[in-house]
Amino acid sequence: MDGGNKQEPSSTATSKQQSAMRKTRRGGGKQNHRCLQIEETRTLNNLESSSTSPPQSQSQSHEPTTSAPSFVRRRHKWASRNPGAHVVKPRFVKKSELGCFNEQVGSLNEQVGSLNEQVESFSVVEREIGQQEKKRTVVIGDSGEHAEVSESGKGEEDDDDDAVSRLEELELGVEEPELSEEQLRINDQAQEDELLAMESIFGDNFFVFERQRGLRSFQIHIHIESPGEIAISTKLNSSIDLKTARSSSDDFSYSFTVQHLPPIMLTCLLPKSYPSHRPPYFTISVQWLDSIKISNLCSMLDSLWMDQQGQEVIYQWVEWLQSSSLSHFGFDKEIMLGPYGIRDAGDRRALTGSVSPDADIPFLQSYNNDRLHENFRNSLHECCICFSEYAGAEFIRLPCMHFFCWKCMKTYSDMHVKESTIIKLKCPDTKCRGMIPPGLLKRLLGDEEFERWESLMLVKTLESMSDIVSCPRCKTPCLADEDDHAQCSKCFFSFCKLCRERRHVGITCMTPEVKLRILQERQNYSQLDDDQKRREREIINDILSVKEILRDAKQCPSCNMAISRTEGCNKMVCENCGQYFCYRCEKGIEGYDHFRNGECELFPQETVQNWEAQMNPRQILGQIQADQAAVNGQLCPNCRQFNAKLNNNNHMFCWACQHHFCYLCKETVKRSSQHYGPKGCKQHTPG
Amino acid sequence: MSSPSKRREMDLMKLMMSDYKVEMINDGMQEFFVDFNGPKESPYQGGVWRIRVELPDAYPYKSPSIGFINKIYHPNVDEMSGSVCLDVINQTWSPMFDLVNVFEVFLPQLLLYPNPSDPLNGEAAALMMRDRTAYEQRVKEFCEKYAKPEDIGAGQEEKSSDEELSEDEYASSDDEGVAGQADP
Repeated sequence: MDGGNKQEPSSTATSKQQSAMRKTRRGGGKQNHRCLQIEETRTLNNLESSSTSPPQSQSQSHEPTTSAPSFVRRRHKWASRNPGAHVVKPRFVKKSELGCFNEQVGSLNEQVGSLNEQVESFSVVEREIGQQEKKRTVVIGDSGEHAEVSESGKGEEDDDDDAVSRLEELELGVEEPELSEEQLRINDQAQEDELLAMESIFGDNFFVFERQRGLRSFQIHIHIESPGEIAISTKLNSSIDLKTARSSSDDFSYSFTVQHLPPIMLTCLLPKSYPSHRPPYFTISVQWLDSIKISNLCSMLDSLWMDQQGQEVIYQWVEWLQSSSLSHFGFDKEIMLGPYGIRDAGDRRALTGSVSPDADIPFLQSYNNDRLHENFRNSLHECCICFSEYAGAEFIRLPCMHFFCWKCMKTYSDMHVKESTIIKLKCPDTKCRGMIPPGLLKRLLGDEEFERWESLMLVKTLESMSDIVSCPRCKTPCLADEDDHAQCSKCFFSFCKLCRERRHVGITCMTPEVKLRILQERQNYSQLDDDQKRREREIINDILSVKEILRDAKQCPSCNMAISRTEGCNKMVCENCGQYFCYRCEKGIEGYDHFRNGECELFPQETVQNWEAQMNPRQILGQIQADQAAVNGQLCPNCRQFNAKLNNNNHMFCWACQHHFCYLCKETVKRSSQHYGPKGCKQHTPG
Repeated sequence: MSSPSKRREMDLMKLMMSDYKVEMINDGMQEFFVDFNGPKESPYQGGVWRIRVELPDAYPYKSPSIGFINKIYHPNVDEMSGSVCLDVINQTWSPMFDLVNVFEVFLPQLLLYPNPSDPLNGEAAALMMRDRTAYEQRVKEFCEKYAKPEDIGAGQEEKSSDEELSEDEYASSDDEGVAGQADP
């Protein structure tokens, strides 16, 4: 971190100085924006207007703007330099009084509850914001769907009000020294320069407030960056006992890692006598540190000022907080959260949001996830299906954490819904096959296709349940009991599951044949009206069709789909519901055990016979001869099967592998006219 | 859409980069031939087969069609048509699979571990279950006959008819050896 400009003398901000500041700025590549920012700052400073955001960045214009009368935040400063990105700001629990701290677990839960409420209301706000956005990229976090976290004005205002009111409090209590005009002007210029420098260094994390009674105030978000992961752990006490801060042996300890920590918020109010005589009034706000530790940090800042009074100190403060605050507490390897339930230190400059592990741990984890997600959104990624490169915002991430580009997911989903193969509509990752949440499917498919998906899903699920039947009259699904009796809850029709007729106690179901006969006879009754005749005609046709189908097919035991086996073995898998069953006995099975323990054969006799018949009859003959005439024969050099010598012919033709070889020399014969003859083996010899 | 063709190109390129000889049938990147070697440590070792690959329009969301051009003796390959019964091709295809997967993993696995419970070639399946040695012999035989490097590219029809003729001829006359049987 280059700190070259912290000792700038209070000269006028010439363009030269501007360029110097630009160079020392951290990060790179966004100079044009920054220039613009500085200009605007100046202009706005001069105007001292209390307007809200000028339409600067496309992403933040829709933020809810609340008007706190005392000051108005410069919205545009919140705007991220990355188009389309959101700056993630942590959310604080509003604490009206640090002092009144209720040790009861119950009220802590209450506070956690109110935090959750707040979170939820933020989510609602964000969702509404999200819908106005052009890019339809809502990513699923680790707990269902929510729009990305963007700062929500309401909570921030409260916290900043808090900080600012503290600053006011601090300021009021102190008497300002009398200074000369000259000194005041020098200070003023120094402050101006310092603010400019800070802004150019910290960019997105530096927020200037409207002047309070002519005094400058601002806030810096200090992000503690670490190269690798940050380990955090905390002891979870079963009870909070203030009097004896014991740690009993049966405490649980919970550890986790994050890559990003919520920032330390340093809010400052510059008195007129800064930097010549007095330090800035400041508050430090850290969500996850307790008040004693924060107070400790405050003292550190005090001593930093003491070391070199009269000089600008803010940069040093920030530098120290960023690089050394963790090690100051011995947190280099691991951060220990807590202790909880301790009395407030009484330092008015220390603002903490740390309440209990129940609130802190999720907060830290969620902040981390949000930051990681933001990083993902802003960088380019390659979709592993189509190999196109898009910004992270164009991707969809599934709960199983696999991500694919929007276009691919849409094509994939559309195809499966169109072809009704919804059972295959899972995470495309080859090993994962995780579920795709319905809410996401709805956005991918659109309302109409999603409805189709829903009905397909419903039908599939119902069919796979063997005790659910649809009422013959009103089609609503009903539950059948073990007597195969069902009563429809909608139309109260009481019917038999098997034959779908009115319930018949003690009598077996009417067989289709009987039913068919009866219905066919009824067709001849003149008393039937045309409508009734037609309906019964349809039923007859249905029965005949089913009869025809079942001639060659059997029904899946789980979903009753008619399946006919054309070839292969008796182990069938139903395409509709995935149930394995035996074709021979129509029982549902798992694996091949059913065929091993003698219940059913794996291959029907017919199939086996067909194979045998396909085999070359000469082959079989040869095999039989080989078995019988065990006297004269040889092993084939190619496949080692025994071949019988026939008719004194030494030229052997192997029945198993159709190899030609000589009985005498046992070698492969390529051209018999060459092999046998006066020079070679004799073709016919007895024995 | 441009993105599907990018995926096709990538897949084809990856296949070619993995040292497979690919021959396009037409310029549309829809169909092509690939020369596939039998996996080591299987009876198919040393055999070379020409495989026809057809990429459907909806590729990669739909699986490619795979067929063996020259004959192969395998329980899950239809001897006459060369079509393959491979569940990952038909049932469990995912858009994340690609052609290299097919040729490096799936086909070799299929050849190394045939699945006799779901055979297209019932005779091969039965033989494999009954007499493994004989089955392996037959496989090797078929490789000798139909899967030599020179067999790729030339049509296979005239060969097989030659073979059959010569066998029948032999059956009728004991004395005369039939010329040119083993080496066509």
